[in-house]
Amino acid sequence: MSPRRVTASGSVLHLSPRGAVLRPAPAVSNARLAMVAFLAFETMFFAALVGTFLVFRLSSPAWPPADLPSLPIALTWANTGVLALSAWAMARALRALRSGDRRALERRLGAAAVLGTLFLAVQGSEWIRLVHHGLTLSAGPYGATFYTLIGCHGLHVLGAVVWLLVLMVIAQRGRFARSLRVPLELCGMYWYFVVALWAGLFPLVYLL
Amino acid sequence: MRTRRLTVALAALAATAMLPADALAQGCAMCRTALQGQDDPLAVAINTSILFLVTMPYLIVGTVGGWIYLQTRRQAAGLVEPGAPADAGQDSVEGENP
Repeated sequence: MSPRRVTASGSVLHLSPRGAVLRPAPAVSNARLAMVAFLAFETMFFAALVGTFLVFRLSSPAWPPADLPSLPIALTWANTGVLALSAWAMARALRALRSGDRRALERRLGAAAVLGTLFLAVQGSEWIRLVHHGLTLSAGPYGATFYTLIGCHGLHVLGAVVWLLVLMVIAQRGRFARSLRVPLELCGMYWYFVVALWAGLFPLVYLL
Repeated sequence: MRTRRLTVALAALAATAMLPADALAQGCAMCRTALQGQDDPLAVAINTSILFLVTMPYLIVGTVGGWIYLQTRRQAAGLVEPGAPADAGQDSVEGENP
């Protein structure tokens, strides 16, 4: 096998006694492509949940049922703003990553993680209040679809926050290098996906 | 020659796909009976849900395909660094070990 050098841009330089051949990097790297495939799978997963929600929602004469509490719309609007702000912080962090500004990167990643955690905390407190008012997972299709759909999204936000925290710890231990660039870019893609998903779920579940 | 064979095969496949196939399009008898009423809210709900689920794969494939196409065009125009982010974080040499 002839030696080959992988450049920072992903191009591959094949070295052989007959000379060197440079093969340009693909337009979309393997890592990004894998992440996109994963996000496509996630989209179909949520599409199935939304399909189930639509069946119950559209076939039900009263939604929510009269004996169950309404969802807190004003608080969730504010929480949506928190999640949108976290996406903005992530975008700024990725910009700092590309410009090599390590201090700004850590600060902005921290802001994104804090905002994501705040979103989860507000969701959790909202759920506790709803359970006290009688809206449980077993309170019929309304409770079941609400907790399944919003709960799955919450788990994804939790996964994104944990992923981000792990990367932040690695970065703060001084192992920040170009090798962290790909994981951070992929984490950013996942973060955007989770925020975009909420932009679809919030109107569907809370406002429809 | 090879291209012609491929074209003929594709044309035959397309022609076969257009043949009437009512027998295959009947669906489940129970579902059909239960959802026949167009005014039934459950029938409307299930039909809406089916339409939503049918559109999703097209939406995903279209979005991903469009994104890859745009990335390829941007790379060709020299607007982005090829393959960014690179799979390899830094220059590395492979195949030099004996």
